[in-house]
Amino acid sequence: MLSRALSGLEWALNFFAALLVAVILVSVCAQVVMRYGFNNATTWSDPIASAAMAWLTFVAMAVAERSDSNMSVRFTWNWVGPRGRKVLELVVLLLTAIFAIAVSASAWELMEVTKTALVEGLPIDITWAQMYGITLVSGAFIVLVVIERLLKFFAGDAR
Amino acid sequence: MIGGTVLIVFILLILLGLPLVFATGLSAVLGLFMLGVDSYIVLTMETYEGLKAFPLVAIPLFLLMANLMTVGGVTNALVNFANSLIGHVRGSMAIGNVTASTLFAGISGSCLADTTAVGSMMIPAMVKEGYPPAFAGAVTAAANIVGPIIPPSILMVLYGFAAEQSIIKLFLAGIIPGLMLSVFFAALAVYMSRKYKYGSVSHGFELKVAVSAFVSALPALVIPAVIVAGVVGGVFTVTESAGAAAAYALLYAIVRDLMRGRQPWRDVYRAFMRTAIDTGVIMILVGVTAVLTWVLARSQLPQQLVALLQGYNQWETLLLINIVVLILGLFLEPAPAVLMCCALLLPLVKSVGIDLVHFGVILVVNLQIGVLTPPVAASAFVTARIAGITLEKQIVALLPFIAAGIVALGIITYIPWLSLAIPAIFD
Repeated sequence: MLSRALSGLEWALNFFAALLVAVILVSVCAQVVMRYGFNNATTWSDPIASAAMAWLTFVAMAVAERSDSNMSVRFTWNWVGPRGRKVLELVVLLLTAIFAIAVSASAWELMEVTKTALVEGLPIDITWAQMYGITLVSGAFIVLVVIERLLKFFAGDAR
Repeated sequence: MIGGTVLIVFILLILLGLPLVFATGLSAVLGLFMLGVDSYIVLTMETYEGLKAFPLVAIPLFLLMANLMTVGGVTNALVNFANSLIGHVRGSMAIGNVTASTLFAGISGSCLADTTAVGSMMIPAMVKEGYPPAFAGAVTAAANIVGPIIPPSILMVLYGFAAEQSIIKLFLAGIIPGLMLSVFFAALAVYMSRKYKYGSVSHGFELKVAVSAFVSALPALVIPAVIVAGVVGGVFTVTESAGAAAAYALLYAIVRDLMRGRQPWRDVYRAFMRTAIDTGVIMILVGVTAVLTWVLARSQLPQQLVALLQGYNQWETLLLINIVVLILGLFLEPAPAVLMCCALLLPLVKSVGIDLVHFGVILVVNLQIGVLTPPVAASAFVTARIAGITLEKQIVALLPFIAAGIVALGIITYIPWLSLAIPAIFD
């Protein structure tokens, strides 16, 4: 059930991340077209591209965690036996959850502090337009991924 | 004391197998705790500070360009062009491999992407021509380390951001050292092919074939020229040049598929999705490394390092730095390592008056050698898998190429002209 829900969410986040790449491309190209085509440099393209990249970074980090694509060095896993590997996997899962919770808590605290601020150059709320809001979403997603893996782990399905 | 403890914990977390992003983030959280910081909002704020610089937007755009060109079938065209030029001498496929990798470096700027793209074509072809699989894999892995040295380069963008240096100067500075490395690897490959009678002489040089292959490869070959000329000529910023190149690659992929009667949208969507994940994996490291850098700066570790190494001259300092970075490169991927080295070493580099553009090239070349060396050896993993051999066999075959890379690193380190000549022309 959880796995199916996470797969659906992963698909949606993947699609959203691809869309954000398109937003970055369009924003940067619009700047060039406006400058040379219409002799009118835009003020919105840089902050939109930067904000889209911040969103993209956090969305993609969460998706990458589910597909185990985040860079890691696992040579020690080959040195310890199967039992040692299970211990290492459990430790890694717990540390991942701790990081996800810490970063979400930090984002929540920052959202409280900056809730009335606007993005420079745009009439948009800074907490969501920048990454503070998406940090919460991606942190929560990673915690769910860890729970899914822990359930599999205790069911004897280690990676 | 705090900085040292944080670094030791960071290394231990990596050795545990924790993804680099979480290892970096948790070490930074520990550092914040040890520094007695009141509020942990620093964690999110500094991550955002690390991400929001507009020049970094070039990274997803360069990745998008490479992914779109790859789905557009550019690898095949580049490999054919490289082989058409030098298919008439013994060891030709090895040189063709190095040449194709060098040409591909002008498009991608990402070592693993290049290794996979070129290797999946060249390794089976070389094996078919009588080269040992381990040698074919070694040539591919070694040749592709030039990807992030020749422009465009994601590592140079990261370094330019972290060290506050002109990215276009860094791009220009990488050209001669990158080409020099390619020449070193090609010469070594030919020497070994002749000595051990690897491969066969497949065909003579045919101008008609070479011209036809050149025309097929032309859409890809113009990309680095457009990027460099556009920025140097003041038409684009680096980020805009990446945007223009990505838009061009998008058009290329769509037109090419339509001309072949295929629907391009599935491939294009896949390229966008792959770019998103690649970007996330790299950029989140940039963000959390900014937090770790903040912690290390407040712990005074870089200053302690400067004090520790005071009294050494520029040459000795460069030697020590190269040794430290080579060791770091054994364990870390180049992207986070660039940021980590900037945080730790820049004060030391500045204190002995080393040119920061030159240092950027040294750093990138050094860390790229690390992708060939165990225990991480990311490129060797890829080529060993494609060649169907064990990692151990691949590493042994790579040893002469690693040695050649270290010799080249020494030359690049102690002849700054190699890095600074081209930027000086456009200064």
